[in-house]
Amino acid sequence: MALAGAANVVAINFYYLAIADRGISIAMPITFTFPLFAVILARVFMQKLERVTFRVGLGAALVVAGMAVITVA
Amino acid sequence: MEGIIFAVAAAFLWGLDAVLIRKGAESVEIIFGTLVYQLTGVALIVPLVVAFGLGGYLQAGFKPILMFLITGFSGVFLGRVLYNTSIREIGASRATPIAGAAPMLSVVFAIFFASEPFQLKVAVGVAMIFSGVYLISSSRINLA
Repeated sequence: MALAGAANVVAINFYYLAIADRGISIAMPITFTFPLFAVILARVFMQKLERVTFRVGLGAALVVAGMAVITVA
Repeated sequence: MEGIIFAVAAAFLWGLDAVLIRKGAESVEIIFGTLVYQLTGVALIVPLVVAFGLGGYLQAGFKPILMFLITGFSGVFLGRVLYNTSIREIGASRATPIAGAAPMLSVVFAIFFASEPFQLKVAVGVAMIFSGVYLISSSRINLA
């Protein structure tokens, strides 16, 4: 849990740096791909804990794509 | 280019964050895990705030600090406990896309309560998000 907390703090700071460098319209769609990373990492490292199905992966991709469409609009 | 690298790194770390929570939640209660999670964040943030100068922030007055106190309760405490619990209950691969769709609510609220104009592109994006959330939440939970 401590590692998760550390990852979150570093991620927040990277997010703010990305916004400062590229602006929200670029930084936000990219950072909100994090569900895809979670799905991939869960598939690779947690096969015994949870089963990632094609349906879940497709759903995550749709959510991320929808966020990108909204942000660009 | 640096900004894009930072954005990708943030996305990867938030994805990793969810996986680590899932693993940690196997052995500890969510409330205790959230405490460890938040204390780690504070331990990392406080030195940075001190290094960059605390005095400037205190001069901002009580009202801005009150806003952050409210956000701290609703987002950092309540939101985090609920998010961590959802990861334990339905898994990181299902919880993160649903939680990641949260900014979509800002769009919906803006249209209905802030009189922002309705845009077809936004409606398409919202429909895609709803479809994705439906796919995820309607699939069977396969947890060990």
